[in-house]
Amino acid sequence: MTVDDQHGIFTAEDRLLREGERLLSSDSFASPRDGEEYARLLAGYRSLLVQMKRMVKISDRMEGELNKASNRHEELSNMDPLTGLYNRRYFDMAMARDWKLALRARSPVTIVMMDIDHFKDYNDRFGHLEGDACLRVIAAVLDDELKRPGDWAARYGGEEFVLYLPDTDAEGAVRIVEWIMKKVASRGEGSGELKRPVTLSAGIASMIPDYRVPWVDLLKTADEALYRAKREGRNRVRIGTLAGK
Amino acid sequence: MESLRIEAGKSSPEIDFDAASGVLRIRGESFPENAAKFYQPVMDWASRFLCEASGPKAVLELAIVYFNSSTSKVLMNLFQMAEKAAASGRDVSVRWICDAENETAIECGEEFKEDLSSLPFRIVVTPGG
Repeated sequence: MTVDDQHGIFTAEDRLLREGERLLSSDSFASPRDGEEYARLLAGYRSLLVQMKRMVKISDRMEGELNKASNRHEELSNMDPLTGLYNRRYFDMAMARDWKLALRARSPVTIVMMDIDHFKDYNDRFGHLEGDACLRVIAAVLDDELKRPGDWAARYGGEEFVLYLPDTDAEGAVRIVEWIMKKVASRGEGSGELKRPVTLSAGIASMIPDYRVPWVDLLKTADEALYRAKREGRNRVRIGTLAGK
Repeated sequence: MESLRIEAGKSSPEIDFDAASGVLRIRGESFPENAAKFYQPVMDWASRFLCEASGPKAVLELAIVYFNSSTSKVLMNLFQMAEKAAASGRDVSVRWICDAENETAIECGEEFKEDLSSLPFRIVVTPGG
């Protein structure tokens, strides 16, 4: 009846037990009855200690299970179930977090707002299931192409995606966005994944974070640039300029 | 002896101790705020039932998906009680029922089983899904 005690968290208890056994074998009791009584108490202590060790082990295991479930829930709560990208909830949390990091590092940050061109028409023509498949294709491309540490993409809303690119200026972001557009276009060519070729419009906003500017302003600028890209014919990328800069 | 039935609560399991059939069933999740208080009538009942040397065959049927630390202590007390009864000749055994997908519950059953020598303790794994 032993329980592994690899971490040695019960050394004090084990020492008491050894001392007790030493005392018992020294046979220094006033009467045999005292010795028997002592042996009984010691045996009780030993079995309760075994029980205690086992309880701790069982509790740790249960707790581990709970932690796993809790981590999984947290992951799910940040995920867009349709595309597997981060969701809007994560976007708000991560923006606030990464903006602070960039403020401290004084390094340029770029936000890209992206939108699938004529997505409503795509849905109307091929049905919502095909529309969902299209969203998943775009999400897969984003997931494939954003490989630098710190980059991330989220589904902002319906057919809108947002990219966060740290340590990246507008020119760098344009290269990334154009590459993504090319990849999306290639997905529409005979792969069967898309019912017809799909294009994207994108708006870029870039700045070195400043304490006086809330990150929402950067998002607004990217959004305005996206609308400009739409107005000017879609399937293109536009760079926005922050007001007052 | 009268049977003991307690409906499952938000944090306490269903208790269904049937004196006639000798099946003592605990089912559900167990993390009561006060485990001692919740299990007091359960332990009292089990103690009286298991003490009768000539009582019917008793089966402790436990299907507990999740339990907290104090519940694990209560369960150990319950098993010790049954172990003593078994050692003194009472026909009593444990069926620890768990879902095949719940590895933690299976492992916990194995831990509980470890300290028992007189009490038959069977881990019954039911197909998950």
